[in-house]
Amino acid sequence: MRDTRFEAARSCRRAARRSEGGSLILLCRDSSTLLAKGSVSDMVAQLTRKGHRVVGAGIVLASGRPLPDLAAILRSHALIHTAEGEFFREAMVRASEHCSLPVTRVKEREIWDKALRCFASTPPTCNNGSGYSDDRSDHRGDRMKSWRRWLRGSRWPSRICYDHDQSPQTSRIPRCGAIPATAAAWSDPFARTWRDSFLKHWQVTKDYTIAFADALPAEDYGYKPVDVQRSYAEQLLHLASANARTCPHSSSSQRPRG
Amino acid sequence: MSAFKLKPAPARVTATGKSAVKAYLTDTFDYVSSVLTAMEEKDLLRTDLQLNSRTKPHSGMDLFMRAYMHTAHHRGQLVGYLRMKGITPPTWAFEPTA
Repeated sequence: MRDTRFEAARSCRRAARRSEGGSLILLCRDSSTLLAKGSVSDMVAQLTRKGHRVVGAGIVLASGRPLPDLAAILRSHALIHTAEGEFFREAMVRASEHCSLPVTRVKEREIWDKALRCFASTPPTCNNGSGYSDDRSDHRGDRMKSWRRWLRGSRWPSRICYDHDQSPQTSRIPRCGAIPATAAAWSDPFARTWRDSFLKHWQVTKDYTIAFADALPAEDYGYKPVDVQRSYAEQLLHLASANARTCPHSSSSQRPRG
Repeated sequence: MSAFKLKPAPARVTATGKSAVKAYLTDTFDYVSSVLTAMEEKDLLRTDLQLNSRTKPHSGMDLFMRAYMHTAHHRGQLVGYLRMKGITPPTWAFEPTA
């Protein structure tokens, strides 16, 4: 994420010492934001093409301590690097927001504990055999290794959560879908393939429809472009109730044909 | 999907608030999946399901395909609503199969 037209970014610190620093930083900020926007939207497009849906961005923060003003930053070599980190993080935040990705900020030293709270009830164990929360084993390398090992034994929740061959006990991470893991055993291979295929597609169509429900702010739910149409809310309610009630009286035993 | 008499459909929601609509969407999508997961294969393959007096008999598969297409039809209309509000509609992404 470097603008080759903008080698000024490199001399920013030198220039900053010469008083015009403030305006040059603003210039660099615009350039970096532009580049970050391009990179993040490329990344989202690539992932989308591979069949993933990007739902958010996570930014790892340093200590999270507020920075002093520019003059004070420039007096300290260490603070210059800290400020640089903040500078690029902010570019990534702006780019993510530009791509409509909600941004989650986590301080680096809190990330493992937060991840644990989100994903698991059983903590992984470090190399030395002590619990993850033991301060003596609080080495990043050990923690990383044990987390990697732990995750390898599990499946990340994928958007398609239907997989009836997998017993629920093998996954440490709860699956996001509500489709029961055990579909009825069917003997006809065609019917079975059809059912399994439909369930996968149905999960995709569910996620995509719910993305529409999320896309419009609540206060606009009554909106309709033309008066004779259903409102946004009514469209969604209509399709939902139709899915639930397709042919409410349709059992052949209940109603004669024709 | 209540045609298969397997389990009661989620109670109809008429409230038009965002959270109520979203909850009803989730419940009804899950309901369809749970019906297909629990039903017998002969019910998928039967061809004598009567929607109403105006339609020809449907197979079990027909019902699910109707639901799939009907959902896409109404969701597709919402693209225009979002555009009118200056909102970029969600990107459609196919999940890789198998």
